[in-house]
Amino acid sequence: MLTVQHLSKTFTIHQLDGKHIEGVSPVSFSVPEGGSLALSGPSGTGKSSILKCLYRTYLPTTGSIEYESETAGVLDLATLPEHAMVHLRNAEIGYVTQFLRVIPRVPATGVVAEPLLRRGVPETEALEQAAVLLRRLRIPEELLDAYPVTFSGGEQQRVNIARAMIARPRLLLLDEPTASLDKASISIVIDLLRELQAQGTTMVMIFHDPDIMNALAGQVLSVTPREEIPA
Amino acid sequence: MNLPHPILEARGLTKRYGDGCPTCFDHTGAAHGRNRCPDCGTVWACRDVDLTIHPQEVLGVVGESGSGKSTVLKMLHYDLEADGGDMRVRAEGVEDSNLFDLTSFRKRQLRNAVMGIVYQHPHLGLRMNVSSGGNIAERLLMAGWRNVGDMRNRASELLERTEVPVERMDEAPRNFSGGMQQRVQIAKALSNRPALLLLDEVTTGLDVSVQARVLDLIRRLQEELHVATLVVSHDLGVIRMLTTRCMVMKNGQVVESGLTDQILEDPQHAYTQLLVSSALV
Repeated sequence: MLTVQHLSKTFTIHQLDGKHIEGVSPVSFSVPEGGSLALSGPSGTGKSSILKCLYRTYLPTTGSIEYESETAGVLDLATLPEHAMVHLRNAEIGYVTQFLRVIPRVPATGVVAEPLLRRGVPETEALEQAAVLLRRLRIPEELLDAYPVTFSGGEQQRVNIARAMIARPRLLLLDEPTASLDKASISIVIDLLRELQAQGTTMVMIFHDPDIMNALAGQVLSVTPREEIPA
Repeated sequence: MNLPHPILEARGLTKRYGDGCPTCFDHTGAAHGRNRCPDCGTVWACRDVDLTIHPQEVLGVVGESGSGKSTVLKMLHYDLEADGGDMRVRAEGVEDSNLFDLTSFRKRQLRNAVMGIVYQHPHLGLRMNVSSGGNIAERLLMAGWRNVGDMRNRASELLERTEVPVERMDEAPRNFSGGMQQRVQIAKALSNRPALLLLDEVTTGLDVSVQARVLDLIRRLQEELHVATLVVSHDLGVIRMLTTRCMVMKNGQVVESGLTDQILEDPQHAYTQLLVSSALV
């Protein structure tokens, strides 16, 4: 479903006289439909940057990202026109970051329901589904209508996870979404992700905890350290 | 992928003050850090700007003062006459030709039928001495509404939506606070159900709490109405909150465009990198 070839990312920092920083050394991998791949390796090797390239938050410097979309055949996410990428993000691709970054002054249920609203689910139904999922993630009842900015780190992460999985994306990118969760919450998250996998969601993930990685990943790719390159 | 056609397509938007000379283009633009030609003194407020907006999409234009971002918006709204370029709008009853070539009568008709605009300064968008309801009714009249009862109902519905106390609809905006004036402007802009909404620095100059309320309102209306929108702002926070795609302008040119999160996290152009690293949050 996803075939990445010679993907690399180099940052050029103009304020430092055009200094080049290599974010991702050329990497190739593929993930079959319904499969799951874990990126592993020490900090600073560019694992998160790879996910950001897949989601187009970073523009890849070289390489191709072939993605088998539901309705339009194989698309190269590295060069896809922006509005088509927006459509894919709304319809097919989910992404969970390490930290929740949400629009201020929107209650937790609203934050989680948003991907459903973008897909045209009626508001009451979307909010109801969001509440069900948040309850399953053991978010206290009185917090459902509160602003997540005020939540603890672990609660924010659970809101973040709920938001990414509620619309059952075809491809889900996970960047260390359980770092500040306790054991009980982690096992709920693992159950939820396994349910998504059983329903056919393809995943590319980063988990530092080997137990979580082994519980979820079908294959593991070791990402090698980046090299310094002269400006 | 079956993606809808753009609702707005503009190519080569150009506005200059002065006659221009053969060397103008070689001496101005972002690469030279100026938009005034040193040889002939012509100012290129904006040159060769392309933009497209898709249905339901919110496109941002960000840049510092004098970058030409408001000029772009004002040309689209016919507030400024374009010196070059081509504009197409895909909406009911709109001709399939360059909309800059229409007669001024037809331009006014078109603007009233398909566009809504909110200016930074409420006095540009509102008649300060006419009641809020009257301001909205005036716009509805221009868009072809005739029944007074219908217009009054529409006005009160919109004022309610934009959180302006309906009991004050017969009061003139001159008595209102800045944030409330802005909300009346938004109500007026949306009154004719525009295909395209233009927002020009709508929160600039408001207190942060008032700014937050206006932004929340715009977001909520966006979720409910899905109007294709152009947001012009110097504020990256506003761009982050409201837009999915954005363009960065400097010295009258677009230096970079992309998905908003990509522009903010992986800016390519030196100017965008400076802009992003200068932001407070």
